[in-house]
Amino acid sequence: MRRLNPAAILMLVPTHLLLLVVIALPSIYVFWLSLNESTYGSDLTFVGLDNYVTVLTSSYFWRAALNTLIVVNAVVYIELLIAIGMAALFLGGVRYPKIMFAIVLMPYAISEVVGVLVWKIMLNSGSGVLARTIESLGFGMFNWSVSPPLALSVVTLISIWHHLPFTFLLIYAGMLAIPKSLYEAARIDGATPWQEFWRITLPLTIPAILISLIFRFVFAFRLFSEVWLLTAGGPARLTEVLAVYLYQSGFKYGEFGTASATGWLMVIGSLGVASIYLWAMHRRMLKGND
Amino acid sequence: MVAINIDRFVKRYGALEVVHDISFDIEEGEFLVLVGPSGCGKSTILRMVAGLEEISGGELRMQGVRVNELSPKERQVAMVFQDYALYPHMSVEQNIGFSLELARVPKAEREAQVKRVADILQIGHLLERRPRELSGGQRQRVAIGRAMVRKPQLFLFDEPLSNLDAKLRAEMRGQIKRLHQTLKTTSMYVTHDQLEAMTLADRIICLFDGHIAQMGTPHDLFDRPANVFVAEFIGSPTMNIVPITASKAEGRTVLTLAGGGEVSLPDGTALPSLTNDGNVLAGIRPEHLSDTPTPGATARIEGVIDMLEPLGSDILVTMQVGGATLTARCTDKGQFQAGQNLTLHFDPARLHLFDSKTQMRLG
Repeated sequence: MRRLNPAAILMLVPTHLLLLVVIALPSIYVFWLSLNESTYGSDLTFVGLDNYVTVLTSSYFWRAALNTLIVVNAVVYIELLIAIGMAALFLGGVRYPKIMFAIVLMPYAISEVVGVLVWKIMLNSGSGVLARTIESLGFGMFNWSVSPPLALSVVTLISIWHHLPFTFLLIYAGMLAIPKSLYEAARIDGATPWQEFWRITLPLTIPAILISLIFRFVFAFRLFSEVWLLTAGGPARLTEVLAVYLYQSGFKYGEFGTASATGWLMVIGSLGVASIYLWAMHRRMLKGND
Repeated sequence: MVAINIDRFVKRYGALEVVHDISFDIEEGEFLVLVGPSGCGKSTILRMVAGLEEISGGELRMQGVRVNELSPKERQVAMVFQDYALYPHMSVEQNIGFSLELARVPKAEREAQVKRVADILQIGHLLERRPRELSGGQRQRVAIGRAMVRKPQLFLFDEPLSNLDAKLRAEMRGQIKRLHQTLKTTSMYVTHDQLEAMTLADRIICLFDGHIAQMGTPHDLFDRPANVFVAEFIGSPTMNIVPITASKAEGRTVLTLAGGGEVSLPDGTALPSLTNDGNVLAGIRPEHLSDTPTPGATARIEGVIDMLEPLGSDILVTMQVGGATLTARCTDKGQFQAGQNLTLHFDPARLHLFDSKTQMRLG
């Protein structure tokens, strides 16, 4: 084992203290809260795992979990496919690359709340520009606010729009790192552009894809503002996702214990998903695949 | 038989022309080396032949047929890259067999062909490995194997040895030479290393700034360089080139160096007709200067030893002669000391003279 020298430890201390104060201590406190019954103005009462039982037997929780599962998977995989396609397009060369690049990155520069609200206005049934376009094309009233599947689709769409630049950047950077000479060798070996993509670009972008999947699953799991600003979980709590469920139980119903339990269940859930991809990455590294 | 015609090649990047009206042929089975300093256009010409760079002007013919518009694959060329360009995610076997796989060669036949090539290159035991698990020399062999397996009409080598250390470079140079003697595939090889060019080539094309400086056998370039550029580029250590004035005194030719030093030429030395009133550039290779008189008529030049660089059996002696610096390669018997006076001898037939303005060879 290499011994860390004291100066190095000293320089690491501030960051670790900060992490301890803003992440570790609150997490531990929230875990303690999740084992107690607690609301405004009352002392904590230790109830063991009761809060977890309450949450896990609540149909609203399972509805929110299912919604989260569907939306998160749809967001992450659709976003990934679009990002790969766009990165491949940029790699092949586009006209006015700098302007195109700026356009692609723009959604990431817009505040999440502002972005969602603008989408909401544009999709407002009867008056929004997008809603009216859809209606004038003969698809009927675009009344997503009363249809949970349609509302969740809108949530998915906005979430993809907002985070696509992040995924695109990671994957495009991964593709740019592939040496040009590999493509030249492939052309001499007789590969078509399509074969170049499948046999060279894609396999060599897998590390970047895995990293972006881990990031995006963890981010997407916390999905909140899109749903909260669009539907606030309605109608009839049918479009709630886990973060909205947590918010409702904590701040609407004042049940800090169950909200804390939900928080910890979400952590476990996202760690579970991330660990699948981390394991895949680790295995690739052991195999010497990079 | 001519295998490849390169006819008035021009390469332009926008308004910038980097290859200017270059023409040459490659004979069937010939090993042609393009040599020159970086930026001379040698790699660009190779890549134009490969089909990786568009040909801005001129025509490329293979076996008499124009191929300008054909893809690299259709030209039936194979290329070995400077950085090897092995596919990092594929095993050695997949790397070598990739072109066959794309051509839908059945698996059994593919495996047999990969094995045949791997056996020739002695990499049969590495087939399961990934490129990152190989040494530089092994990677180079895999890259050559990938080119060989396609049985190309033309082998293209783009500085394939420049990433290897000196010892491995010499070894791989030998391998490439032996391979060419066995396969006799027409080859075009690009390098900036004149030693590689001399040892490998049937014929060398020396390029300078997008023009052909000289084309010929290694002996042609070494013995009769067409201009000062080739004279200095080919041969190591570099040829001594000094400005001189040639004049006749009492029927004998005397060469006067810029700083006043004189070279005595033996009687009856015939010089080519001189230009610029006898103000020309004289060149002599270090290995043609000797500290002991050789039999026959020799020319003499006197100076003071400035620096000694022992090479083992030989020694490079740098001498100051009337304002000029000359390097001689002599046999080292411990006879030299810095500051000592020294007389160097040479055969006047070994003297090269160049026009001081055009830098072209005289005679």
